[in-house]
Amino acid sequence: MDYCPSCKVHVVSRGEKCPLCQGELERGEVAAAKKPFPSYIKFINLRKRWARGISIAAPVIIGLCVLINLLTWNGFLWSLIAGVAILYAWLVGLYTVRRTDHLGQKLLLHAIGISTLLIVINFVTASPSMTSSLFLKNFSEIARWSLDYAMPATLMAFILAINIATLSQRHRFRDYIIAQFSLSFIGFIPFVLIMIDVFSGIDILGSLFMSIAASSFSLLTLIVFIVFAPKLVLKEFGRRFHI
Amino acid sequence: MKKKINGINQDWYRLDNAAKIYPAMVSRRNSCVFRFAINLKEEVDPYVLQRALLDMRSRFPAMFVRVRHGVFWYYLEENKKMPRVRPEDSRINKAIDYYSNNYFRFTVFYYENRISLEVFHSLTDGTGAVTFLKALAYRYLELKGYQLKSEGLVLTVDQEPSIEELEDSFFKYATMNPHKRYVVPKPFNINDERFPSGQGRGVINARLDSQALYALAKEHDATITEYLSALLTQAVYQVYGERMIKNDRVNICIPINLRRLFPSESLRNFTLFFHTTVKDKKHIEIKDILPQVKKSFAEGLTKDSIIENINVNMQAERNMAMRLTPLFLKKPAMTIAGTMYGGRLNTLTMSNIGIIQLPQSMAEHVQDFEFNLSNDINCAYGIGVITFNNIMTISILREVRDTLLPMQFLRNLVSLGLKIEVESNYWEEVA
Repeated sequence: MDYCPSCKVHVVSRGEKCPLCQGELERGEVAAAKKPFPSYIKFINLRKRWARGISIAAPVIIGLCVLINLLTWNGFLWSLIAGVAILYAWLVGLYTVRRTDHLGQKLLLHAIGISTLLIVINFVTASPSMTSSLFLKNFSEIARWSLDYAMPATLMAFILAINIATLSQRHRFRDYIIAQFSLSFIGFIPFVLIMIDVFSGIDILGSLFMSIAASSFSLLTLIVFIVFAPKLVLKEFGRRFHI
Repeated sequence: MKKKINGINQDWYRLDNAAKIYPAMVSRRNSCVFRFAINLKEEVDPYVLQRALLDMRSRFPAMFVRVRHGVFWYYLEENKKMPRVRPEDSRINKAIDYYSNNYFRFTVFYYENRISLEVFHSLTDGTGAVTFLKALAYRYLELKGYQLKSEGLVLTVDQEPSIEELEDSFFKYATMNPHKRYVVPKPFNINDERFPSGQGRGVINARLDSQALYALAKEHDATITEYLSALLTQAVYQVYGERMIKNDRVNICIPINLRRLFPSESLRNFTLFFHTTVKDKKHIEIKDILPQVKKSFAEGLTKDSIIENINVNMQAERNMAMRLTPLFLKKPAMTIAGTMYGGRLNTLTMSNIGIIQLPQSMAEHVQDFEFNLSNDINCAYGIGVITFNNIMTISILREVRDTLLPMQFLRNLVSLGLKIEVESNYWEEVA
């Protein structure tokens, strides 16, 4: 066993120097063969570096788009579409690709992201040269395909997807339930728009069909889960909301 | 989905009082992970170890969990995924990447003849972790074909977990008497150059004869923990005394295993901390320091003061406004509180887990144990002490590059006539 004459300690680990004073060791008859710890490997977290790079790049690119759009202004607010699209791509990169689990939360975020992107694309492209006051004044004249069809259809598709996930992986019910209920509640947004459209006289929706379908599907989903799995639902909410 | 423990369904657990703060405090620099290791007398077979680990699930249900976000608090939920044993990482007590760890907040490693367990502090404390590691090693040796008898010293997989093992003992022993938080005076902090962020920590293990150290402590009418605390305080003054200003104190944070004071069988957190405080840099002989350290121990270890401290911690948890504050608002507040009341109040931390007792049939296969504390970036040194078979292992885990304090401390021990063997990961050379 090696020995440090300065510290007067025996050194078990294999090394050139005393681990305490860094001085030279007196070699024992049998050299210390033990390597008490695994070799050092410099740790580089590539995933984190990418995430950090994207998180810095995304706002910079959005800022550049806005700047170019303003400097070359021709009445078309294309930078808003670019901005929302980049934010959505950022979300996909950070949350969907990076994380391998949380399917429920991913579906929830994608439903919100895609719906928002479609609404932005609809209204920016439908009114390329309008000011905000003109936009509101002529709202009923604009084709509102995103509110009439795209958003309700998107929400229905994602509610259906999470229903399939829950029913096919029943053991993961509690993993999905919060996202399931959140999506179902978001599914009532078309219903809120119908109510505004019908009772306030503001002409928001052109066609009510898809909105009614999405709201009904959300309601049906909630009823099915509350009726057929009340204990599970209560228990899951009990633990999530415990104080 | 439901797990019955002595007839009671248990598939999720509230975090105990001490555990609540750790999920909010985790960062790359502050992993809140501590480590126990058992060195066997033969090389570890990872396949057998994996089987042994899977057998632990039913005996230690509160370990096989994942930490989840509730609306108001974090909680632990049964994790049905499979934990995997891994070859030991060179970075001790690194933050657990729970995505790649199947959401488990503990990891079992193997390296040559060593089985080590790294645990996130929200799951359990030192006593719970060492109980788990002993049971794991026992099962491993059983699966290797050795005939063992537990003698009531190790929990075995054929036993049922009890409700008492899963209880939050803080809740059980707290009283409703309010008390003001005990103010720890700000100490001298060691601000030497740190290792690069996320690149691990330096470790120096020193092994010595525990009986010889016990005899030295007895000469001063002190316990081993009191004596080691005094020696560490002395070493801090010897190394950093010139840098200290007049009123700088040396605070050593000492965890207390409350199971020694209360009849608790809990395998979750049941630990509190107190500080030894010494403020006299002109008199740094052991005979001057030890009385001050013993006074701190006497004051910190009375049952009344401990109940008062439990009450202080429980007050925050019982406060209705606090309880009804959503977690996303509570989390930053807990992070700040953890930093204020955490590492910055300690010059260093030392924990003596005590003597590990194993059944004779198992002890024949075991060389010794190691214990590495979880220390954060604000506290430069964490010193874990563990004794088995009269071998005391002092594991000095450090955030700082230089080795002056361990050198001085161990040289002081040598000057008292103790024979010491050291080993190191030589982090100061490589990281």
